[in-house]
Amino acid sequence: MKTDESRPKENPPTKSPSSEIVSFFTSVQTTVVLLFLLAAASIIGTVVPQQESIEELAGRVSPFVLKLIVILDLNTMFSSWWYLLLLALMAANLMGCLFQRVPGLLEDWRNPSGRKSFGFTHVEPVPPAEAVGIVQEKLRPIMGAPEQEDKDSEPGSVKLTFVRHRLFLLGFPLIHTAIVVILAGGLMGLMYGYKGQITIREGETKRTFVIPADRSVRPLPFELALDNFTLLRYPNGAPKEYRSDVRIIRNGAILMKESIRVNHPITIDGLSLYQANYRSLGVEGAILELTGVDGEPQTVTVKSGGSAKVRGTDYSVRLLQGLSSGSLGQGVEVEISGPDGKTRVAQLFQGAPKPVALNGVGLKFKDFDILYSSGLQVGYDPGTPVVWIGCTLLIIGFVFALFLNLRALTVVVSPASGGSRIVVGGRSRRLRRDFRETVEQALTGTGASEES
Amino acid sequence: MTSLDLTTYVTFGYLACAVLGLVGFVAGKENSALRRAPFVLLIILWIAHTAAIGLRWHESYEMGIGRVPLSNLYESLVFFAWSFALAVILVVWRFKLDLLAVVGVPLIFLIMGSTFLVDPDIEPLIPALQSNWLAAHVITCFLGYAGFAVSFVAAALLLILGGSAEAPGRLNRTILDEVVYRSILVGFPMLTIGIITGAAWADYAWGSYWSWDPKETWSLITWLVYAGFLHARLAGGWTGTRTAVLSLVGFAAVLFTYFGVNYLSGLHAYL
Repeated sequence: MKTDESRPKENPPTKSPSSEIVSFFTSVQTTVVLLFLLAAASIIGTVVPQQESIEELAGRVSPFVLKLIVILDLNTMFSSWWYLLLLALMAANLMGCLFQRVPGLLEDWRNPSGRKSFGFTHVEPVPPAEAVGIVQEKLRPIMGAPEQEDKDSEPGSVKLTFVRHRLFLLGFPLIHTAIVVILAGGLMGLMYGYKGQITIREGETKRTFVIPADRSVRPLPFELALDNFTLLRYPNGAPKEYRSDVRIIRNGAILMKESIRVNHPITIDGLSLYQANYRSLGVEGAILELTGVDGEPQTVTVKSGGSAKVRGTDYSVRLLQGLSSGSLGQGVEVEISGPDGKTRVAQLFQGAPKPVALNGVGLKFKDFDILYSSGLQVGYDPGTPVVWIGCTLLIIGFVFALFLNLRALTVVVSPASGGSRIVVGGRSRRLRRDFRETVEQALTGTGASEES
Repeated sequence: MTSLDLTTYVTFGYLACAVLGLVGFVAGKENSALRRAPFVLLIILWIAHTAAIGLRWHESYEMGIGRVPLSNLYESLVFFAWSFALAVILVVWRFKLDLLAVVGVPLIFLIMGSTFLVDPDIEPLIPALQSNWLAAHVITCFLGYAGFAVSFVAAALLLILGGSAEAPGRLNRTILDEVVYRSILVGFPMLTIGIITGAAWADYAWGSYWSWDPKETWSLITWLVYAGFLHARLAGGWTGTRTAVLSLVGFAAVLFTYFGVNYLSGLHAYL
C-alpha cells in the first residue's frame, strides 16, 4: 500500500467547499450522527410491516400515512433509496476515517515508541557495555527481547527498543474495514441474490421456482423430485422433525439423493434448498401395523381404493373407508381376502385392545397415510461469503483491540560519571500508570524515580 | 432436589442478599464484615445459580430430551440473571464499587422472581431450534446484555446521585463513569458476536443471514446505539452525564430487543 507518510495537514483558515466535503466524510461527528440516524430509521422498519403490498396496507392506515408509506417506500424500507443512501454515507464515512488514519497508523507501526507517554532517568553503577545486559535481563519478564539494538547518536551510547502487542494497532482498521466488507457483501446480495419458493407434492418433480416478491416463475438449474415428506412429532404433540427426501436430477442422472431438514439445507452449485413449511393435502391411504412377523417393515401401507398383501400371510387387504370412534380413536374399515378367495370386512382402530389375527399375524391400524406438499425455500446470495469474511475480520479486530495492549519502550544507555545513565521513554495504550510502575519497579527496584 | 427447587432457593437467596447489601451499605463501616458479607453471599449464590442451570441440563438428559437450557423464556430469564450477577460480581471486585451490587442484586432478584410467572417445563426442541448455533448465539447475546445492564445501573446511579470526582468510594463519579464505559466496551463485542452467530444460524435455518425480522432489526438498533456511544466517548470526548444518558437509551433498546419485539410479529416467535 502506497500512502503519503506525512500526517494530514491542518485545514487552511478559509475552508474551501472541497475541504468541507472531505472533513464531512472523515469526521467522527458524522459517524455518530449517521449511527443514530440509522438506528432511528430502523425503528420505522419494525413498526411498518415489511413486504406487505400497498393494497394490503391501504385498509389499515389513514390516507396520510399511506401516502408517506408510498413516498418513502416504508413497506420495503430496508431496500428503499433513502435507507441505502444512509448505508452508503456510512460506508463512505468509514472509508474516509480509515484513509485519514492510515498514515498515522503506518507511522505508529514502524515506530511504536514514537509517541511517548512517560519517561524517566536512572543510573546504573556499571559501565554501559555491562549496563545494557542488565537492562535487558531486568526487562525480559515484561517486554521480552529487544526488537532493535542501535548505536545512539551520542558516542558510546546504545539504544534498545522493546515492543509488545504491535498487532493491537491493527484492531481499529480491521474493525472498520470489516464493516465496509459486510456492507459490500450485503450490496452484492441485494443486487445479484434472490430468494424463491418451491411447493412440491410427494411424488412430484419440479423444474421451476417462484420469486414471491413479484410472483415471477424462474427455471431451476436441475430437476427436483420429492420422494417423501415426513413429519415426526414428540409424545406431547410438538413437532420434532420436518424432512423432505429429495432427488436432484440433471440430464436424467441423479446428482444427489438427500434429506432436507430444518437447520440442514442442501446446496447445489451455490443454490441452497431449505425446509421452510409443509401442508397436508389429504388422506392417501392407511398405514397398518403388523405384529408377529419377523424383520422389517412392520407396517403395510394401503392406498385408498387399492389393496396390499399382508406380509407373512396369504391374505391381502383392501381399504374401504376411514372411521372414527369416540373410545377407540381413528381407524379404517378394510376388506380382508383370504387364500381361499373368501372375503370378510373388519374394522381396525388405533386404540383397539386386540389386533385382528390372520394366521398368527396381528393387524392393527397405525395411522393415516397423508399426502403432503413440502414448502422449500430456494436461496442464492453471492454476497454471503463476503459477509462471513467481514464478520471474521470484525471478530479478529475486536480480539486485537480488546485483548492486546500495545506497549513500547526505548532505553538509551550512555556513559556517565559513576556508571551509566539510562534514559527510558515508554508508551502503553491502556493501563498507562500500571505499565509505568511495572517498568520503573523492574529497572530501579523502587517505584520512585526522578521525572524527566 | 430438582433444579426448580434450587432455582427457587437461589431466587430468595438474592432477596436476602439484597436486604443484607442495603443494611450493610447504610450501617456498615468501610471494610467491615457487614459491608463484605453481602458480596461473599452473592458469590455463593452465583455458584448455586450455576449449579441450578447445570442441574436443569442434566435433568433434560434424564428425561431423554437432552438439550442446553437456553431455549425458552424461562431459561433465558434464568440465564440473563446469571450473566447479570456475574457482571455485577466482576465490577464490584474490579472497581471496589459495592454500590453497584446494592442496586444490581435487587434487580437480579426481580428477574429471577419473574420466572415464577413463566412456564418452567423442560420441553423438547422444535426443529428450528435444533442447532449447534443455539448455545453460542444465546450465550454471547446474554453476556452482552449483562454488560449493558451493569452499564445501565452505573449510568442511572451517576445521573441520580450526581456525585463528585473527589468523593471517595461510594459516590465517586469517575469510577461510575468508568464502569458505564468499560462494561459497554465488553458488552459490545459480545453483542456483535451474538448477532454474527445469529446470522450464521439464520443462514443455515432460513437460507438468509439477515431477513430484517423485528428481533434482528432491534438487535441492530441496539448495536448502532452502543456503536454511537463508543464513538461519542472515544472520539468525541463525551463523558459523564452525556454518555450516561446514551447508556440508558442503549439499555432501553436492549429491553425492547429482548421483550418488546414479542409484540411485533417475526421469526423469533419462540422467545
